[in-house]
Amino acid sequence: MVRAAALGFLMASLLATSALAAPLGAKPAHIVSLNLCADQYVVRLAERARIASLSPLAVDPELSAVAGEAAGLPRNRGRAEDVILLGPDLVIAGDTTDAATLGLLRRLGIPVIELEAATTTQAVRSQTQRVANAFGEPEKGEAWIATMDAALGTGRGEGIQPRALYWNENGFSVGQGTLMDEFFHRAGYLNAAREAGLAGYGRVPLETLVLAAPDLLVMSAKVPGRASNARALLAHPAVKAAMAGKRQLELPAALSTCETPDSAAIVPLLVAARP
Amino acid sequence: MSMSLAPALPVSRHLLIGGLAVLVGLLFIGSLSAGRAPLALLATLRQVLAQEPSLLGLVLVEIRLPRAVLGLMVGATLGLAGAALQGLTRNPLAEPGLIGVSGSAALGAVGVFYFGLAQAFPPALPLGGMLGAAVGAALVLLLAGRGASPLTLILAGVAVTSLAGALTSLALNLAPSLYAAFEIVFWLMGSLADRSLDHVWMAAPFMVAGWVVLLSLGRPLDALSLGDEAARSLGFDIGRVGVRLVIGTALCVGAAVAVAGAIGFVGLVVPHLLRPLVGHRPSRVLVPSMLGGAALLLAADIVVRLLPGWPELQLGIITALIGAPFFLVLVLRGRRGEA
Repeated sequence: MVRAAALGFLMASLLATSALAAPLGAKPAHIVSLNLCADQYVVRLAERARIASLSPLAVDPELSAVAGEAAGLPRNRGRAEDVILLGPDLVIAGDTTDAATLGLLRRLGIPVIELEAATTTQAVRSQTQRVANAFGEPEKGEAWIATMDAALGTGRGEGIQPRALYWNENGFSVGQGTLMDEFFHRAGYLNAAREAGLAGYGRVPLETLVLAAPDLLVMSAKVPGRASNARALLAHPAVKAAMAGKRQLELPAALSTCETPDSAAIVPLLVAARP
Repeated sequence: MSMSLAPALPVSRHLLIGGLAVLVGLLFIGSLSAGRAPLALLATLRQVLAQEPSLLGLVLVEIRLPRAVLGLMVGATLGLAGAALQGLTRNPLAEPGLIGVSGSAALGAVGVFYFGLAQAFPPALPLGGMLGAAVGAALVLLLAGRGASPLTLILAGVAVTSLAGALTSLALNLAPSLYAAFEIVFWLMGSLADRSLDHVWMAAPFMVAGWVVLLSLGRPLDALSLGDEAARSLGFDIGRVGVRLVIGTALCVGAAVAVAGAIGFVGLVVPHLLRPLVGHRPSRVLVPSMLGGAALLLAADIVVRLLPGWPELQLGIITALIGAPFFLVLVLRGRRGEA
């Protein structure tokens, strides 16, 4: 009965807003997120009461940077039918969200914004402003960006530049033109993957890792209960020998999975790990 | 006259087709009813017909209807194409997925999708799928030849599937999107989730055209089942029958794969289950296989939605779980036959 009443309310709200014209400047009141990274934007930039639903991963303490805040908020299964029943006036999706789902939502007249891969802090900045404006919360956006600037300001250490290499599951690494590459640079490191010729996101073969013998090896933190090939490779005798006496840094997956102003917290971690 | 020569069948053909049609109808209604929204079908339908705007009406017409229609049409396509391919090749293992037609169609669709053509010109997607399917089907039939042993045909299929898979990976490596590879792994497993009426309009005409071509092959396929010489003496040009089969398969399987991904095994399982009921004349298996394919895929797509958990299982996983053991049984039976 409660459910029917709630549905009636949602229906009414959808019909009221799906005339497509939430008047300009009005704040969307029922925001639905379809993606772990979008969850972060929604939780940071919108008041709780305006969050209609988050992705299922939002409360995963290993992966979500906003797991605590997301507790108690509704979550969806990411299909158009779930979403539409929430009567959203704004849907925010990541760049991996099913294109069919987004196409269907747009066809039904629901405003959808999609996050894009941000490869520089400048891109993170403009993406944050874009989302904050869509939420009608430009000040919150600027405040969040200010936290990023503060973290970036902890910046460059003194003296020689040690060499760092990011190495994740299956040898997945980051080269020139990635956000992590910029973080390395800002923290005063040389990116060893970039030196090895990697541009963008790609793999660093085991042999390259051994030859590069970076001063710092950066990985996503181990998630308990999930096997990882990258970690298995660390036990390889060649890697053990090459990395003997070198440093390792484990980044919380919640920091390294998404590209948001929160990601800048990686910079002080890198600075602290300098040899 | 031919009636008296035909072996007695366990059920009359009309009864079987009628029964299958009823089953498809029930599963279609089931598909419209399955989902997360508490939707009373009749009441919502009444609202829709009265043109009262409602959220549930929107769910029914824009979300569940396209899914049910595509489930029916894609399933019918796979069942029919499987039956026709088995008829022409006289090979029990011929099936769009196993012989590489679906993989080639996927390659065509992926090529079109990831290089922006589909966004600029939506019909490019089914056209890409059909082109891929036509090349794949022609290649396999040329490689294996007609009446080739099941082993040869499957080997040719494996070769074409591997090639299409490798080229798909290559296309993805070159694609601009970072997550293309990740997306496509899921897409290749097949799904009908969240397809819209646009997808229906885009793919349905080609599927129907393909059905018409394949259904018109009944008599030539019957003649071919008597042997090439007999078929020729009855006035059928074997080469032309093959070309028509490739065209029909490419039209419907290409369009189906373009909207639903590569869903395997339907075309293998369905004709096999139905053949004992309708006899072994290829023409008699075509229509029942169409209906059976539609029923199987609608049922599988209902199961996908009823299973708990997140994310939703891909449809191709369900059909593979049903189809792969079936395939193994056929292989075993084949071995026993040879021994």
